[in-house]
Amino acid sequence: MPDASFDVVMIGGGVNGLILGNYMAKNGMKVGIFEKNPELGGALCSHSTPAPGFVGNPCADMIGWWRSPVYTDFQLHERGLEIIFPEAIVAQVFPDDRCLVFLDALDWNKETGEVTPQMDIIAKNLKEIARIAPRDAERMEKALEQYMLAGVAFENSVFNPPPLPGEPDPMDMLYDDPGHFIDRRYQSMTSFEVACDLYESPEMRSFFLQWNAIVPALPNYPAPPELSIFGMLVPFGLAKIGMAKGGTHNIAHALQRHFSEHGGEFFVGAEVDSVILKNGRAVGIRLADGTEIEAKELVIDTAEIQQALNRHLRDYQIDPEIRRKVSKLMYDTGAVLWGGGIAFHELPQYKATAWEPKLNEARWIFMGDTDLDFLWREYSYQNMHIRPGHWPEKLYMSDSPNSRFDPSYAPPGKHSSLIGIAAFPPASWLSETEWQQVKREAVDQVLKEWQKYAPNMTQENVIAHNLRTPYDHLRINCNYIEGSPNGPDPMPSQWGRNRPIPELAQYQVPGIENLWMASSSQHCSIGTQGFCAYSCYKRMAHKHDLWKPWEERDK
Amino acid sequence: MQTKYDFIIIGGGPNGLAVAAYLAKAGQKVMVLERHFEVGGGLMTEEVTLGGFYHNTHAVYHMMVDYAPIYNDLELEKFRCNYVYPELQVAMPFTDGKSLCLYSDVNKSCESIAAFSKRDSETYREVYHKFRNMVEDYIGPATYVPPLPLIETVVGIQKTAIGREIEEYQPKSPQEIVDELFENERVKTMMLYLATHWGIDHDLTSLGMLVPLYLDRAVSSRLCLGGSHRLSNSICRVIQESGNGHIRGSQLIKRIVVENGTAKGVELENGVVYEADKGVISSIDPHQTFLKYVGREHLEDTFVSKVEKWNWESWSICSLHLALTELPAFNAERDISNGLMYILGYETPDDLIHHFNDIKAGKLSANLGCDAVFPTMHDPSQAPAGRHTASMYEMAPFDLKDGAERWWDRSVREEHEERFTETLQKYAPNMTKDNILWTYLSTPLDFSNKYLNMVKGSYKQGKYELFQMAINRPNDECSDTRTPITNLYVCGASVYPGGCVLFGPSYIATNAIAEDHGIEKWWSEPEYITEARKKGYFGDYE
Repeated sequence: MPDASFDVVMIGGGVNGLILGNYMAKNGMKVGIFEKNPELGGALCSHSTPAPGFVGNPCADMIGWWRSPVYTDFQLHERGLEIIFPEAIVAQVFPDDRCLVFLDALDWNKETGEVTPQMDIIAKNLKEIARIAPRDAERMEKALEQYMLAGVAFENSVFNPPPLPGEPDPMDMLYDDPGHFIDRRYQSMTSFEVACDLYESPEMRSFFLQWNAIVPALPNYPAPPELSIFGMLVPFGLAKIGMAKGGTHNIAHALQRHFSEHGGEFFVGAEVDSVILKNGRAVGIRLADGTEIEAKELVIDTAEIQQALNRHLRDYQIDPEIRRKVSKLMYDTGAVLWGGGIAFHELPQYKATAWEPKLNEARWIFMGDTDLDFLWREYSYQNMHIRPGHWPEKLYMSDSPNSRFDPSYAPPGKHSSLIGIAAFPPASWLSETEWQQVKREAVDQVLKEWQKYAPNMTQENVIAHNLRTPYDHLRINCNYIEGSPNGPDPMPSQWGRNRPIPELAQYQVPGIENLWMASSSQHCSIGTQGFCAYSCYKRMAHKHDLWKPWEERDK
Repeated sequence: MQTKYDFIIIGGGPNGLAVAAYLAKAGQKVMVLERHFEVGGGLMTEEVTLGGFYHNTHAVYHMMVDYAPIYNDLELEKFRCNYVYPELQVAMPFTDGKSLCLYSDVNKSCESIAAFSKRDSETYREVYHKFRNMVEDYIGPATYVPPLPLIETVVGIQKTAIGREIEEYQPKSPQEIVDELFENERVKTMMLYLATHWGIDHDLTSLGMLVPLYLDRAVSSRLCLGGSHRLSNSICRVIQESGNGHIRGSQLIKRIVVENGTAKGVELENGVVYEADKGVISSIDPHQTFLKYVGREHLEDTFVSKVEKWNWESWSICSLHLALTELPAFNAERDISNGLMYILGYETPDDLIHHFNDIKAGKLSANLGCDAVFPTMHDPSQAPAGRHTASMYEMAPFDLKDGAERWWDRSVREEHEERFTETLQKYAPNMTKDNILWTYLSTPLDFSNKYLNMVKGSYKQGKYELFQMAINRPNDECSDTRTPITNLYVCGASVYPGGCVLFGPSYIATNAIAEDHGIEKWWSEPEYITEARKKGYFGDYE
């Protein structure tokens, strides 16, 4: 006899579990979410860090939720979620005190989810780029329509399941267009090659490489074109990056409220041990404490593929080739120093505001030089080999000045920033002791670098700090293999219809009809936008004849 | 967006959530508005040091789990809200390797005390039972019943022998009581610490009744499995699964809408107005509720001056949360592993008195004394496998002698962290720098920044002193949770009986609201309260 029974049993209460749980509940099914951590949300988490009275987002911080249909399908703004969009999305500051600032050129209707490009702001952005890179600005302006088309292909790609054999790939509309600059070469280019193909100026190339690196497509790794398109749209202002008011965790709360309103139940501190199978069907789950939960209709596993396959489905007789391929997946590039942050007495005063005052309006500020030689040959290697007492000669890093845009992130008059550094060593490369040393040294390294751009970023300005290393991330979330929140590295061989491997790319395990999988190891797992859950749900809705909100929208 | 509710609750701490849950289960449409992104108030379990280490950043163990009606009424166990009751409740190691221990089993406590003083051991056995009876008979039930005017309280309490004994304690200070009862210096030190560490001055006369309560509660503490936040999380589920309750975090309130002396709703800073058809319930402090949100224009001058006279606590708590590679191995002859609370750093009553004097002078003591809890001894789920968490709590001044702003100073913070870890290492030599992976300091100033109702670090929303207790908490017009504004209720720690996760103010408020608005009570009064009524403690029993 099971201890409890649901129509749908959801393993994991992170972004994918919450979204799919909501869709299932909205279909009238009785859903139970089982979450190992003490709190729902997964990457949608916030804590009072680095000191009490401050709000730190250890994982997801940059919120592109405006673009997710989930936002409107569940009317999250009616459930306490407010997304703040600063005037500028991203800026790049150079050591010579010049900067590039890209303003947000998208007008978004939170009721309907529609976005409208504002041509005057796009023109402003191009004018700004022209101050530093006139030839790039000129080329970009000429190709504006092509870039917009690339944006359409990007959206069609991330909001849909990977194409089945014989189905067209949304990206084909670009490749098959002889006039479009994104051709099939892009499928196998490294980020560095893409940067050089797109831009002539070292400034724009450097920005693109830094952006892609944190996404994370490192300069010397092949990058899926869909990922690169995201970075290409940013300088036009054709991307929107916000922050959740009060803390990223508010997104989880809004999703959970909708879920509870529709009869969903959730259990925290409930670690799942395995999926119970019977006659080729998933009939329930077993928790680590031995409790058995019945699933009358479906089991959905939102754990990363290693945990899903090697723990939850460890006894399932599956083609050994599938297990072999999954064991060979690469998790090298996604580890980051990210989250938590530094608490300050005063905000950074960037010297480059003299070049462009709008720098202070930027959601996300990248700092770095234009040493392309270093970025190509040294950057990935040097960062990934950070050891106690052994840091690269220069760091490329980013600052998210959260308290500037939402005062609730810090006590009155005080501030906090989230620091990001890409290409950190994967978690297993250092011991726990070494990671602790790196964590302590990181703040000194960050300040040293920061002072080159904002001289007031001194030790005296610091109140407290807690920079989250890949080792922290690994322990925050057991799905963050090697400390990477992104699942297997985003390389063409592990992307789209190959993600995580072709046999598992359609959110199912061969042979179990009513078991679905949606996690960062499935298409499309960029950040916490819910692309994966939404795409997975499209397949489910088709197969199980469920509510199809996109049909309404497409009319 | 739905903006009309029956009740709007300001503040999502334990009391605010409790009222919301009772009312939502009674079919009332309720909305809880909380300033922080997370509700729970002092019931917070947060990953503030390293990944996978969960720290109970405020309330760590709960002292009224065996009395608060909410646990049974809301069937919180259904939501995986379970408690562990460690046998070794308090351990106080000394630098010479000896240690004094209190257990849930009185015989074991007496045996430990006997190693220091036979007479004290006998006294402890005697007062253990006496205090137990006092709590069972009167103090426990009184926690969940509205306060009576002073004269009636005295009349009630004088009706029984136990009551008359309680009354004898009332005029005495904690120090007097402890000095009268015990002879051994170390026993006195422990008892005085236990009687005062919830924010009672050692020489405060007139609240002596709290000493029997706190010494009884010192061996009645329970730890919520999964962390303190599991408790608030479970109450939230009751609210939301009732289908009537809503919760919103990150909400900034502008004012309580008052028309013709009646509370009508709450207006937010962003302009949204939530209408309350039946009432507004505030779980925050009197200054914010009345002066900031209601506004003086709606209040009598005499009432305003009562609110203005509200005293914040004269001292607060400084805590350090640690991520550890291993548990402390105490330098103790007796086995004191697996305890709940460890008192560290005091060897004699003078150490404690010095500490109190330093606090008064706004100084940080060179030799830090504190208590420490290691939740992972009892609940490994609060840290990664094989790793541990600790929380240390020191009584500390909010106002340092150079001003509270000094708490911002990184060097002050870091030096003070050192003092915490030195104290820990003095009693557990394995707690070296290598075994402390990360720390998170929470100063009295930090408290007041994180929780606006903990002004000057007042974690009980206001001082415990005669004129702020019982019928006067927060003042004689509000202590039964009703206020001079019709349909405005108060239910926070600043209301009788007070703070520290008692669920007292909320239970009293819920009953008052149900009576005022004709809401059918789906809950029934616990038997132990009815028993106390029958004895006549709370007026004539019909």
